[in-house]
Amino acid sequence: MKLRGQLVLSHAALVLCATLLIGTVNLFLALRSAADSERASLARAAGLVASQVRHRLDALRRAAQDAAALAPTLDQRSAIDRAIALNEVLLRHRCERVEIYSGLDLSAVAYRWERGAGPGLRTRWLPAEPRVATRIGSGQETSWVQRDAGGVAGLKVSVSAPGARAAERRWAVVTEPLDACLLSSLAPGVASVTLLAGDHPLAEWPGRDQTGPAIGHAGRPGLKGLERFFAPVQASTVVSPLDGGRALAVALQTPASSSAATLERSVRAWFLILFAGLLVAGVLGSGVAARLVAPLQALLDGTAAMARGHLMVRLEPQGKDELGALTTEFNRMADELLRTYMGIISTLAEVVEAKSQFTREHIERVERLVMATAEALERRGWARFSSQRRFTLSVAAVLHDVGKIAISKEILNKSGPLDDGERQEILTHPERGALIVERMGKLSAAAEIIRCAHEHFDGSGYPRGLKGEDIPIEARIILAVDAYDAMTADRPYSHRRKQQEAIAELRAEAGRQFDPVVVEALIDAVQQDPDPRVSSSSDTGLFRLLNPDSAPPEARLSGRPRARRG
Amino acid sequence: MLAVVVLAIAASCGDHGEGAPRLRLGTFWGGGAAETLREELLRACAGLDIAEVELQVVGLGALHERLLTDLPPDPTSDLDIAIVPNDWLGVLVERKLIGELPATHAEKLRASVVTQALLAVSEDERLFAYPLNAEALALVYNPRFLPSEPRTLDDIFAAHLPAGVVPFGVDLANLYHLVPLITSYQGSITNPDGSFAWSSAAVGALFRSLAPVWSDPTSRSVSTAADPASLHVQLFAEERLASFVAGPWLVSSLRQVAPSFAVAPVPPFRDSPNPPRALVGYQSLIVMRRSPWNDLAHAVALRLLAPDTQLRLSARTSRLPVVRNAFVNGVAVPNPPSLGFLRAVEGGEPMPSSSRWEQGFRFAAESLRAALRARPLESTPQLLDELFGEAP
Repeated sequence: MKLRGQLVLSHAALVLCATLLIGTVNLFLALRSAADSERASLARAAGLVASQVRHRLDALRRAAQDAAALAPTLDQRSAIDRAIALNEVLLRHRCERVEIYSGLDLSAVAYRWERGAGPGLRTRWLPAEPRVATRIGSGQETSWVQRDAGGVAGLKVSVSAPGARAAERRWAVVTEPLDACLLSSLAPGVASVTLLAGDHPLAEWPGRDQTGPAIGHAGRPGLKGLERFFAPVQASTVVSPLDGGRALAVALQTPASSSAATLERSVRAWFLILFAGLLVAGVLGSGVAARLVAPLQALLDGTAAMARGHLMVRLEPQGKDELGALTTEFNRMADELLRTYMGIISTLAEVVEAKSQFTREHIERVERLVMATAEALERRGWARFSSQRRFTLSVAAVLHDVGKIAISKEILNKSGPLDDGERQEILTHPERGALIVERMGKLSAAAEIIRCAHEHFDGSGYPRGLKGEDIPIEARIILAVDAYDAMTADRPYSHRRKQQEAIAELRAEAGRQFDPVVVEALIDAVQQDPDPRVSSSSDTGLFRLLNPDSAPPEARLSGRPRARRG
Repeated sequence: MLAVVVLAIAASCGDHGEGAPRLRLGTFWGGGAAETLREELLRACAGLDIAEVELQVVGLGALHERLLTDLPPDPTSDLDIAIVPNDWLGVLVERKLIGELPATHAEKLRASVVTQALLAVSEDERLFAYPLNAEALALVYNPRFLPSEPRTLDDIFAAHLPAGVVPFGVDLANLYHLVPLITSYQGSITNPDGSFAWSSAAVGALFRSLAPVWSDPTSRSVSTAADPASLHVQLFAEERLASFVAGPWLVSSLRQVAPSFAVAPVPPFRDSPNPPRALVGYQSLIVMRRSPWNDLAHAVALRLLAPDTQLRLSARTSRLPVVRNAFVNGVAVPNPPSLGFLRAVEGGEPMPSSSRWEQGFRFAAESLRAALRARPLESTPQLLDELFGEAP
């Protein structure tokens, strides 16, 4: 994977980790808070339910007392009148069933139809619990729970109505069926209700075949799924002690809906934040990656260009960080490499100078005028030279006669005419010079120019007799400039010619020895700067490179090296 | 990065649960019927985005006070939906508490509900409520004491019953229970202009015909008890009452406690000129205009009218359904008692839903109740004279 992708991924991973960490901590705190709140809320609800059950118990006691007060008079009434009288007691206290017992015999009963507390709810009169039975038998007010034949539990209160004789004693027994109707009316919101006698459950709502507590979350199946992850919340409260030693208690249970809702909200928010975070991380990471990768890419491109022989490549300084230091070191390395090559070139030039009658100034003038001519060609739109191509041209201009090293000094400096053997010897110097330069690695690109530097435009040159466009433009430039400098410079064996004469000579040979286009560019360069051999404002040649203090700013590679690299 | 972190904390700490829909349905149905309604309400809410539903069981009088009086509304107990008798609808519309049903819902109702039920909740072809079930009073009798369906009430009074068995019970203080008998004398209790019809002569004749009820102390006690419905069920179960006027909501209790029972329309008196016509009422679902969850409430109300829901409500509460489908396939009358109440509905008089009729009926009912409470029936002849202007 590329560095850019890795950087973006690392940003995204960082955001993911941060969001996970924050989300987890926040979720933990929120869930704990929701659970505490839910437990407190359910505890309050349990207290409320217990209070309601106590009120019902009080109502049962009052109803039993009223019925007991009626009991002595009931025997004188008809069965219907007894039912009517007891019915009024039930209505007054909103109770479901009242029975009057005479000893073990049921003497009167009344019930209401709403709760179905009819004959089906009839239970055994005396409870199985001996202590409760003893208490009832002794005539004390007693409360207990008892199941009917169908398994429905009933909360019962007994109050005795003493008669003149023990045989005339009556008991009024009021029953509250602990059925779904009562329990559902007690259930607050989402809670399920269980009534207990001690630890023994008497009744619960909803039962196994009922669907009560779903109320409160109807239509939210998603929550039901999440609620599975939480234990239900429970709370219990003692309502009242029952006779027989056990206490009536109420227990509420509700699904951890608040926790589930909190989890749902947090997960939703977490996903939202995660998505937004990843988006932001992608954008930021991409930007940062671009900022980091661009200098590295420039370094990579610069190194690759250097490997291909582009010794002029330099990178834009990138600040003071590691990347900036790396860029500086790269540029320093490139300078050293260039300087090394320049040293070699300079040495070769000095050898040629020492061996032939050419002076160092001639080489320098030729190099400067070659570069000026190349610029003139560019200015006219006839050719385009990249920095590397310009460097190669400059090298070729300096070393165009390096092959003369292999020619004997006598032949080179012979003042008289050369015989055939000597001429043939002279004609080999371009090939020899090319062979020398080819062995110089990064400068090998200049070899072909040097090899062609004596080819004429009309094909009359040497060593291969190339003509026209087959001759590299650089070689055509060097040929024309070398001839012009030879005509306008002082030589031991000839007189210096005037500039106009030299130009006329060049024009005369345009199309034969010289490329007409190059001749015009050379004349342009000469006329732009009457003495370009001395200095040139547009000089980008080797000699200035060898003397950096006087050199104009070199084209440097910036963060986008391809745009600058010709 | 810091911004993302801060955003994460802020977003995950926020409470997204505010404003969740909470529906509150008020009903005067009690006992097992309320439980059944609660269950169906949950089913109806399934799949809708409702956070919580609450079923408030309140007395009929309390509901009337909440909806039809000028008492300031209690914002903590505002109802979104309520089940009300259809004769309240006119007043509710006048008070702008309810509005016309959405057109799409009205179309669905017209396609699925029996016409008479639609008429009971409409005015000028505009529907204002969802009829939920039909009800009419009928005569519940013990076939052991009355082997064949009584043709007249006089037949019941003349039946040879065991000692201590009261032949007939009716809530004398409840005008709604007396309407079938009143109409047997005056034909209808609604004037052609839609107002409540009250004929003192007809009511006087009725009370004179009811002399066997109020002249015997035991019969009088049975028909003037504080909670006649419970007393009638108990006495009927104990075979101390041969017949009584009851609504279909008592059928489930009677099935549990009564050895056997049959249902038939309330018979006329031998001398009454018209067949008795019970008031046919329709319990209707209304959606309060001020409900913030109006659309959801309408959706829930419409779901409670679904054929399956109607059949379950009918089976478990013994109330008569209003969807055509129930009558087409016969499930609406699964047993003879339901058939008897259905006959009463078919021969009954639809309860107008105009506020004018409702006010007249309520005034007459309150007057009758107050008069009977003020003057115990020991002085019934004098009372009748005061009430209706002539002695029996």
